Amino acid sequence: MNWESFVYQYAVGGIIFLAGLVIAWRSGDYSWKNVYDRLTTYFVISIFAFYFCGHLVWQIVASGGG
Amino acid sequence: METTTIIGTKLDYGIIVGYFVAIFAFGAFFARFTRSTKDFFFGGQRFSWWLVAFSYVASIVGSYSFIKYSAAGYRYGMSSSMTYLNDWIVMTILLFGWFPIIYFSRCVSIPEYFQKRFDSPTRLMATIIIMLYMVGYIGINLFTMGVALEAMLGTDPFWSAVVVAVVCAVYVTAGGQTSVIMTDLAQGVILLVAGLILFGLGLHALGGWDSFWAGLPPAHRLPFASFNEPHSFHFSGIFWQDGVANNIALYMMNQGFILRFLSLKSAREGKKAFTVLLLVLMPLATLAIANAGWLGRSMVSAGILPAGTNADHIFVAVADKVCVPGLFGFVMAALTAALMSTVDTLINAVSAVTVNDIYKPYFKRSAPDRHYLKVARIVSLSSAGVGIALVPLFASFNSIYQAHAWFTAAVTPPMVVAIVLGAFWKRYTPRAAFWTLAGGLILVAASIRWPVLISPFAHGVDPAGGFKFMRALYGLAGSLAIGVTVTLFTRPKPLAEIEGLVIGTINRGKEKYKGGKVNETPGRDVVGRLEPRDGLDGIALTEKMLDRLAAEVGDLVYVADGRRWLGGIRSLHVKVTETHSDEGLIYLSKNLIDEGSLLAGRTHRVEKIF
Repeated sequence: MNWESFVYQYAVGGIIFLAGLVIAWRSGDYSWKNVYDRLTTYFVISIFAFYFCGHLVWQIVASGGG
Repeated sequence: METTTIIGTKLDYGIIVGYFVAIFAFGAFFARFTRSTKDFFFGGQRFSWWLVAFSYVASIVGSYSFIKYSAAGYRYGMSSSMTYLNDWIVMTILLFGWFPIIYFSRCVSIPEYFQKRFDSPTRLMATIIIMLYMVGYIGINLFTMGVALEAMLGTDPFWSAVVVAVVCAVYVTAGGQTSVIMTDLAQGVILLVAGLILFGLGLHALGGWDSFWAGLPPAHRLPFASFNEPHSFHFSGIFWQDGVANNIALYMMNQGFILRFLSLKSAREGKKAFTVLLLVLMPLATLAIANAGWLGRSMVSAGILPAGTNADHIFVAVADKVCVPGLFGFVMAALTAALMSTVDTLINAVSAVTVNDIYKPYFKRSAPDRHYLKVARIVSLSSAGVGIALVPLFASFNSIYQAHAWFTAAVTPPMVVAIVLGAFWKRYTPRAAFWTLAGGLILVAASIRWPVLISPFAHGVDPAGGFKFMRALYGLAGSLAIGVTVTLFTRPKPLAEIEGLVIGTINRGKEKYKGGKVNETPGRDVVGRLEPRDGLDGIALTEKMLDRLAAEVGDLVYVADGRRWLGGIRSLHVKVTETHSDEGLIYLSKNLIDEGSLLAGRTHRVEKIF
């Protein structure tokens, strides 16, 4: 039920998210040697995973409970 | 059920009035920390992440949020949470690009960024659009507060807006950004707590979670709306209008949020604030603002509320149903808090743009700082007046949701594209930026006249609604096409002139900000007793302290009162200028101690910035 919206959110939204990350890392402003740059990257990926997993579980529970 | 008659008790209204008085006094108290335009606009660049994170959420949750999302939750279900749970989409653009650029370039306003990154005509165009955006937002917030008070008291929305606007304008005028941040901290906590209490009481009234869940129609339990229907509330439209255009506009173009970010003690604190905002505060805020609508639908199924309950009044109706006397007043005070914390941010922001981008460049280039502070205060009062004048305009729309979506989808796309290309593409030219803004506005205006232009971007949405949401995608695509095309045929600014203003040059921006080579070796904070010493240009620390900080003479440090709960209200950025051998002591000149509102003789904490 309504998986189209879920897939669109994380496919198109994921492309925008990833584009920002890739452009930033390719710019030369960030370095894996810098602990603060590494932490920021871990944070943003964790936040993406948090929302993806949270919405996935919610979607499954709501669809199955119909 | 129509709730246009007076509801609540005298105790409830006493609490609401008491709340107004308390916030007014709270804001006025912090006015004493405002001594310059730097303090007025930025709060002195001193605050900790937790204070700004709560302040952010208070500003995001406008008064329209409780009314609008409760109504959407009642009509369409839990998918009303979409708007608050999609901010992650723009997170990498913000944290890796825009925030470091704006923080280290120290632009006092977004138009100033446009001046440095592009040229004067582009700055003027940006100023016009930003002022339209912010003054319009003040008007929408005041209007929705009027609607909320109408539901409670049956009062005229216009005069309710006047009362709220006067209270906000007075404490912003007195205290500027410091008062805004401190009052927003209090209001952010209040509105989250009130919303969550309401949810708990609602579940109790319904007999628990299972009864609540069972009372929701199956489609109302889903986290996302239907992809492209109905035209008044559909996923694809909200994704582009809110998830992309409005989120980028809110965090990157809304001067209020930029000023809030610039008030932080360091760019790293901004990353912490944003992480906590997205992981903790936004999910809580979603629950706080929309749950009344979900509860209302379930209560209708359970027969607790009548089936004909007005969606726009559902928040007040549910609060009135589940709250005991006194608590209802507290929940209504939270609604008021949501309004005030959004409007105060915007009033301060309008003031910043007017002084820095209109008054200074076009009317009075050089004057004492005291003069600009006076002008900033006059503008704060005036912008509240203009917001009040716009209330009748927004009242002419069929619903708050429509007014808000139409407004953001129409005004934001050209600016969003210009900011993102400016920050992420070195080749992007001043002429292209100007035509992105001007051409984008023309395209949007044409689509209002001929909505059929939006059809290719409509994702199958019924054209009967005028594509209010999908206008955002149309505007983004059109502005992007103009920006890229003009860039390919015009000359970019030399790289040396845009150092620190575009990605790929951020490290150079850091060096400019510090005035020397950056030292990002991780260190640990040190503490010591602060003592005054004459003749110092910066801070004097012991060698042992410098070792622990991993700092050297010439590095930039942040010195703050040792009481962390103050959040940085007593603090200062300063360079290490010399070392001494008095263990446990930190030396600063009397002038610097006064500038940071520090207290000699007390324990202070020193943190290396870089």
